[in-house]
Amino acid sequence: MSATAAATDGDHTADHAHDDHHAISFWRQYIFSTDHKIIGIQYGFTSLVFLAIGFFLMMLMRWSIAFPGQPIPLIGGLFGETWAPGGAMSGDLYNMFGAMHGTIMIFLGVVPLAFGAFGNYVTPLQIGAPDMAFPRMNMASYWLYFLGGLMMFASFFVDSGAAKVGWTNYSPLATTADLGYASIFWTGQTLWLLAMVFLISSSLLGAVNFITTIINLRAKGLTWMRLPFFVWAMLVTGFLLLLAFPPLEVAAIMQLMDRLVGTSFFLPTGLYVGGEQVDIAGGGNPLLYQHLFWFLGHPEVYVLILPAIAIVGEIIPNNTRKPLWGYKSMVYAVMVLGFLSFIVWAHHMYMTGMGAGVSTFFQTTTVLISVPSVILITSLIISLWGGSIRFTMPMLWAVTFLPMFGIGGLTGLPLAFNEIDLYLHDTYYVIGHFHYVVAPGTLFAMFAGIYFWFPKMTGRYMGNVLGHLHFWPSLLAMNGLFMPMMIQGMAGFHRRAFDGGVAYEATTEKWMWLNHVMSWSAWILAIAQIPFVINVFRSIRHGKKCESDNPWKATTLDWQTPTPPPHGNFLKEPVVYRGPYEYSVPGAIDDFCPQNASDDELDWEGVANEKEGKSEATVAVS
Amino acid sequence: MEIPYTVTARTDTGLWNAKIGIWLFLASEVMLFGGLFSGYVFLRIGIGDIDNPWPERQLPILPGFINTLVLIGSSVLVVFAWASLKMRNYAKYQIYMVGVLVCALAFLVIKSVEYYGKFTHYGIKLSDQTIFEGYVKKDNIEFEATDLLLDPRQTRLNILEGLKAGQEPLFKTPDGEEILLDTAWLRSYRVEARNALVEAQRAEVEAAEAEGRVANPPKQLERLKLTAVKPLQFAFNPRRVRTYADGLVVYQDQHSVEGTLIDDSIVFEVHDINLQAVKDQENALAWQFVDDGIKEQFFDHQAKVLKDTEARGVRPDPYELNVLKHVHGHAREPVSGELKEGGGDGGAPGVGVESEPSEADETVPKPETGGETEGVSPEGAHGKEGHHAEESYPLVKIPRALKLFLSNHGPAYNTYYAIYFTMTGLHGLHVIGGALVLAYFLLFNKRLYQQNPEHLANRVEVGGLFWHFVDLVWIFLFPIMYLM
Amino acid sequence: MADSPEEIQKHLRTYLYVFYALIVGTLITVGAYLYIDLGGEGFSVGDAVLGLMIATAKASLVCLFFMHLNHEKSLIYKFLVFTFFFFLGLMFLSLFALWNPIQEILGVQG
Repeated sequence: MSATAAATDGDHTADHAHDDHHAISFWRQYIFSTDHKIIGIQYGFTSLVFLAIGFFLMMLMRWSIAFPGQPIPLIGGLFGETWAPGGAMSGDLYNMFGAMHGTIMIFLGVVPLAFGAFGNYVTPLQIGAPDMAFPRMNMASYWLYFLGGLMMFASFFVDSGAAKVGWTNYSPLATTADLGYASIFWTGQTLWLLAMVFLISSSLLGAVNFITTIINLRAKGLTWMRLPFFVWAMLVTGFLLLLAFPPLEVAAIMQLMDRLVGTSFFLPTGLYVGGEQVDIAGGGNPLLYQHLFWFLGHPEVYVLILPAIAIVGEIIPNNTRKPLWGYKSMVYAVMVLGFLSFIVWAHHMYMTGMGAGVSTFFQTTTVLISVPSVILITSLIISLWGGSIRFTMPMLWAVTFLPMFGIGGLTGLPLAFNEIDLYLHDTYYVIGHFHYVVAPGTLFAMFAGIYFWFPKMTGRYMGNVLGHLHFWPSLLAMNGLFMPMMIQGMAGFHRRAFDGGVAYEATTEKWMWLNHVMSWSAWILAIAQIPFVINVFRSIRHGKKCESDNPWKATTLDWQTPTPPPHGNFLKEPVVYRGPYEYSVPGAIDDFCPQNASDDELDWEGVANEKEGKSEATVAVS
Repeated sequence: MEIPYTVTARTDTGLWNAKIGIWLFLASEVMLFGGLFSGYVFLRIGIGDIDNPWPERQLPILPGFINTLVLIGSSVLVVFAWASLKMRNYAKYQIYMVGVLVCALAFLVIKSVEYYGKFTHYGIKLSDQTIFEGYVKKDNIEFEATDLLLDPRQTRLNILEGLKAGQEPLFKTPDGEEILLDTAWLRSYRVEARNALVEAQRAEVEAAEAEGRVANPPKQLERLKLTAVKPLQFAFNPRRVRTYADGLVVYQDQHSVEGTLIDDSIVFEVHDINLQAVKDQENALAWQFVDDGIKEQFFDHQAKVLKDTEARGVRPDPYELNVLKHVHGHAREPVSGELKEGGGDGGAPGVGVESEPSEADETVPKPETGGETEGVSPEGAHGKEGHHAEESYPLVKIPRALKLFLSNHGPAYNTYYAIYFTMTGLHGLHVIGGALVLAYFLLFNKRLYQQNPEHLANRVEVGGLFWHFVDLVWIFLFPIMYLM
Repeated sequence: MADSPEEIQKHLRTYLYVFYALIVGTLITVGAYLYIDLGGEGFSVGDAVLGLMIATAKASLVCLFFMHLNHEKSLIYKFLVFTFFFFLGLMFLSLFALWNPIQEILGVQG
């Protein structure tokens, strides 16, 4: 038997799809679908659109930084005299875009893409399940996310404009902002909080669903240590979302109460705003908000990064044709990482003036958490060692992820220490650090994932030429965008100046020119995404057809289904016989042993091979 | 396609899907209420200093106690309902389930009564931390306007909601044209004004270019001054007024009126006097509003409490010690110039009894008199003064400048009420949600029972687990909110 | 599995006893409030511990019997142990931030 035993040919797929068509209307199939694959794709498209919006806001901000006070070309007039007098961005508009850039990128872009899209599409396939455990809840999760996103986006168009106090929405600034408007409800700040409640509920439903699915719907024989690393990462991510999000929901509810009902959870006694004492009872504590926020905020960082590491962890063994190095240590590392991520949150709060004792505690745990992170990255790097690497499109992105995320991680180490953080915290250094983690880090892994699973979703490869046109300029522009931030940050550039530091020219003069480098990099980065968009839409119909259901010759169960997988995923219930990364098993003729292939089904050296044409193991990848 | 393990348990985990799901959900609920409890502890410990004491709880225990029993009862009924299903006794299941829903309803009714009492009960804190508790009889800013300054950047015209009934907002524009001010007029004016501004800007730029100087075009629209045809009487809700002084009131929508301030004092029916946070109780501001008899009552009460507790050998409860409940007596006669502080923005009349309460009453936004206490109407307080003097609560008139904070005993009143309402409110929403789900099982799942009784039993078990969790939260809420 | 109808029949009596115990617990709580005074100025660590101990005892009864945690699968216990741990972390680590040893040493009022 061949290694692709469980997978079937194209005809069969068509038959099966045809069977399902008769009962399900278009709306139930593509819009209000309960199929995890459709929901995954819905999540993917929506989040990519939000990523584009967030990116667009950033490009405008970069204009204001590079050319402060000058009218934004072409579209400057669209923002109106209040926000952009004469077409030039005002500080308020910059703040609004800054806050919404962060919010959109994190809560509406990367997390839904990483967890919602890839998690939804791939997880049930990889564990051999017909769907998620609660399909209707899965749909509800998507639509809650969609509503939350819509509400967030709509907040741009109310009188007050969208939220303006940063993605962290710190009280008391956030509570007292925009209170002058006739209706406090229809202000950006309030809508931000409401949208967050929707998004959090969506994530909670998703997390419950993922964990249940992974625990209870694993295929026969898929024991814990046979789970692909991707599934492990999703499991841990699910727990992070499940347990870290509720405190943020509490914070959002409390802040809503502060804004709408007039309580003072986060407002201290005797608070003055704009020279006037605020008419509140007082007795609250702004520090409480930060605790509740960062209790989510830090695990959220790992929600952003774990799926990325997981995707890279799938792609690297596949393209080195070697098992993942240190699979077990990676699994334990990811669990320890998840656990520790709950007790490091206050390292975001060194500047708040909380007690020195607690700073010391969090400093220690923060340094500790770098150990499992380094285990993960090191394992991935060692996995490359001695492999005959196929530099396919996904592999290019995945390999690049390693140094990029490495820079992001290592630049974070100094920030763990209280005294260094006090200097660097409000500078561009921090911006550079976490963008290295999230943009060239996570996003590169996301691109890797899109290029990797696209053939599974459509049966066609994404184009290579456009792929390279996308990859190389992106790589250069990303570094051109974020590396100078480190330099500026160490030179003391404040991270929230909307004029890029013009106001402090005496000190910033030396490095002002970097603003232009970064802004141009940002715009080039935007242009570099055009080939990607073309590539996606072109390849759906005109991409090179895959030769089989398992074009990358991968071992995990997601590749042992028809392409694209039908409703219910598997034609017969898969049974798992081996670990997730059995590439180049000594003695096997094919260089990969799918998880659902028993020893009898595989061809072994020295055993007569009755079928012809099976040994052409050369991978025909365009 | 069938999702496996929806009804029967998977052998290696021993669990069916929904059971894992509900426990995960409950885990996140633990973090939700855990976050709220941490917030409560954080605020309570963080606030603990002498100048800024943790606000005392003043909840009657009885409703909380009854509600605890109601929820415990509903919890055991849910278990019985589930057990009946397991034993395939649908009739009994229905009876128990109805019992659960009745309990849920009873809980919500009791809670609403409790909330209603709080929302109709007011407290006012004066600048020396004296707190009067009772009912607001008048809380507005009366103003006679001669001019209205229109901010042409605004599209709304909310300022007119303060207009007393029976008056037309008739104004004269600077051009002498007489208009009826409404949003339609404002809209058309804005268009005109904008066009004029753009024109002016262009003219200035051109002129500057011709003269070779730097252009200084007008940046924004000027306010438009409208003169009232005849003076207009306003009674503003102070919460919607941005700032005010004798001659000028700036409303929340940025428009403002010019004229004379008539009266901005607050008329308050005092039921309890709380001097817990007042350092010099002998000279508390409270005594400037009520007569000496009440002051005596207060100190007599204090002496009595001290004696009692001394006899029992315990420390007195500061709330009991410093609060005089059910004040009997009169407001102080107006004495001018007695105030140490006050006057403030000017125009605020001095201390005194409300002279014409019936007229003031018309302008009171919410003239409700008490839920749980026997409220006395302003007329009662005055009209039948001689007849009922000992029973009546004093009606005091407080200059707005002396007010630190005025609120009903809702969430805004203090941090304690804030956390109380947030937590019990969220808990109440959980009760409603749980009851809806259980009601759905009861009403719409009969066919499921006929097809697959185990499936319904599982559903009820899951719903029941949630219901027990709601009970569990209440078991902690009751001592923490009502007793500690 | 202790879920057979006969087993459940036996459990019903247990549930009823638990119900009585919970009512008694509530009465004890109120009694403690009325005679020992859990709140007010006398509010101390002792009061909090007493009040929470009674509440915890009641909550344990609900968990163990009504929610069947006395015979549940190990997976559920794992979830709950983790959750409880993180809840304690949230509660006590944020409180920890209110304590400042440096100010204490210098004698500065926080």
